[in-house]
Amino acid sequence: MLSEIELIKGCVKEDRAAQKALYERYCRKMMVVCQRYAKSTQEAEDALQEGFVKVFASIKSFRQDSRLDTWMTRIMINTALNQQRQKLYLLPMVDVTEIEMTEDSEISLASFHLSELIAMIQSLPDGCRLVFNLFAIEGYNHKEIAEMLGISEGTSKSQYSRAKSLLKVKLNLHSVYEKYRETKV
Amino acid sequence: MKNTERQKFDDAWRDAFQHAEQTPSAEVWSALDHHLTQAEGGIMKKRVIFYQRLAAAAILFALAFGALATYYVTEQVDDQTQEIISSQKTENPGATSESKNLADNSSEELKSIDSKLKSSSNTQGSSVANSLISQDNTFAEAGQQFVLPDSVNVNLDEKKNTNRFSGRDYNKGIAYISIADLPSHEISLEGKVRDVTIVRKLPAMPASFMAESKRNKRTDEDLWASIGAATGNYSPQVNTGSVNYAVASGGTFSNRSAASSSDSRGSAYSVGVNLGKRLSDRWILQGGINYLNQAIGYNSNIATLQSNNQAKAFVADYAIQEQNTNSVLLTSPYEINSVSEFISVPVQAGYLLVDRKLGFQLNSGLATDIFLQNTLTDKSGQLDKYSESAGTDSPYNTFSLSGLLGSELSYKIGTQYRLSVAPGLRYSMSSVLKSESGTANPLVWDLGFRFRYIFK
Repeated sequence: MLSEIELIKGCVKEDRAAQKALYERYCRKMMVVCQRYAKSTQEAEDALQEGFVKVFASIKSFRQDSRLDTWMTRIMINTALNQQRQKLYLLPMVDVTEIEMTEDSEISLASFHLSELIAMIQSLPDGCRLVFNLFAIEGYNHKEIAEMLGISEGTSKSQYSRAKSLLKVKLNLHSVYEKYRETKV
Repeated sequence: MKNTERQKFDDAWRDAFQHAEQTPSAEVWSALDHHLTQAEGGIMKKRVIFYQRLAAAAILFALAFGALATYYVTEQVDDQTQEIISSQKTENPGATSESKNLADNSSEELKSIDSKLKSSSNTQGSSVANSLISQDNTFAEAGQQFVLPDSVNVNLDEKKNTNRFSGRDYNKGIAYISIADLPSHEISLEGKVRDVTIVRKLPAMPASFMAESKRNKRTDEDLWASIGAATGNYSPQVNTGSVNYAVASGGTFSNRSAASSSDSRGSAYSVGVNLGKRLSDRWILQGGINYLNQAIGYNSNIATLQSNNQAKAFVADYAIQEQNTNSVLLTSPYEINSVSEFISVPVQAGYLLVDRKLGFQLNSGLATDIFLQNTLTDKSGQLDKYSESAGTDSPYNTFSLSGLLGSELSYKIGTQYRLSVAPGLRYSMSSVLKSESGTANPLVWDLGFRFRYIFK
């Protein structure tokens, strides 16, 4: 099995075997990243393919000062955002300075299957989905998200708040459904 | 509290996706593989077309360079021959009628007249002039292949009509043959006719295809300094008038004109330092300071006398400036080495056709040339050196403007050095001589080497 450095060197030389090995090593992880930002699996696979094209084209510039999968994840996110950018006009341009945050009860996602969590995120409206991914999962703050998406900071906050509310509803519904199923059983 | 709760919600989602994996369909790799294969083919095509264009550009540049150089050299040779002939004719005004007779004579008769002329020479003049006159015979003998003897003078106004005779060009000593006199030969072709296959080349690359190749490949070469030297040839492109001296202080010459003619081609070299800055992906700006040295041979028939009665080498370009003084005397023709020195401040824009380890760029710009001095040295060593520097009394303009055109083929060594070969042209757009002295617009074509240090 080739080491990560050998894989990078092979890809720099445009060696197809090395490119395939790199793809096979990281495609599953990157697929999840793309799925979180896409509306469907088809869209996610399109983003994954385009993202890997960019990875192979720019791997010469990878300086190895960060982890390879972190660098690839950033490329996948940017690719997915570019695909979704045309839908950003759907975001409501409200400037919310104070978001009313409701207190959360303890939640656990352990009982959920990955595909269920992905389905919940994909069911979110476009703007909510992008902001929620960037804020909650990637860890960007609202100022950074506003710059990345070309929206106001307030809009980012409101989108996140809305995403969170919608997800809670979905989680609660799911819990209720599960309890109902258990009682039936 | 709220923040803590919010953090818990985000963390729960982050943890859920931390190590999550999902297998994509096999079509993704198939499509990716297909895309990569197409891209490789595209790159190869682009490389082939790119190098085709680069080769075409290099050939075009070489052709233009050669054609320009040939044109100027040929023109200069003709001009110099005419100048020498006209100066000889002025010195021997009584030979016109004889030349007319010669026009009707055969080439054998001309030879006999030539030999008769060699036996007669002027032996008058001062001690300095006498010594130079003794060179006159030698000069005449050495030059008889291309210089019309004194007695074979032709009226300048009628030259165009009369200087070509049916059998011989007396000005150049070349025999001419009419086309009608040439034997005609029938041309016959042997062998079988063969089929020829015409292979079409690849069509020009569409603009959309080119756009993709214009991806940002900007390197880290933003600022650099270079030292360089160049050597080559130059054509002086001098056009000066003649000066008549009724009486020269050194002797009894009368009604002769001071004339000096330069060789058609001299040698030039330059050394200097330059600074370059990248303005955009393809455009660069270069400037610097260079020392220029241009040397050329002259034939002159004048000298200047110093206070100690020692003669110095002199040319007509200067005599025009000093025609009111009594220090100039006419002599028999002698050879001079003329060296002009300049400081040049060039500013050039460059376009990078290739910006990789191997680089190729086209340069064009202007240079302000500051005249330092001109030194005249008698090749025989009989006369002293004469130097003329810049100033109000100088026949040279202190400042002149030159146009620059060239290319640079370079190779990057390591990360901070680049070595290059730079063929180029330099043409003085404004005359280096003052208008009273004539005009001189030197054309220099040279090959330079540069060593570049790239600042990080």
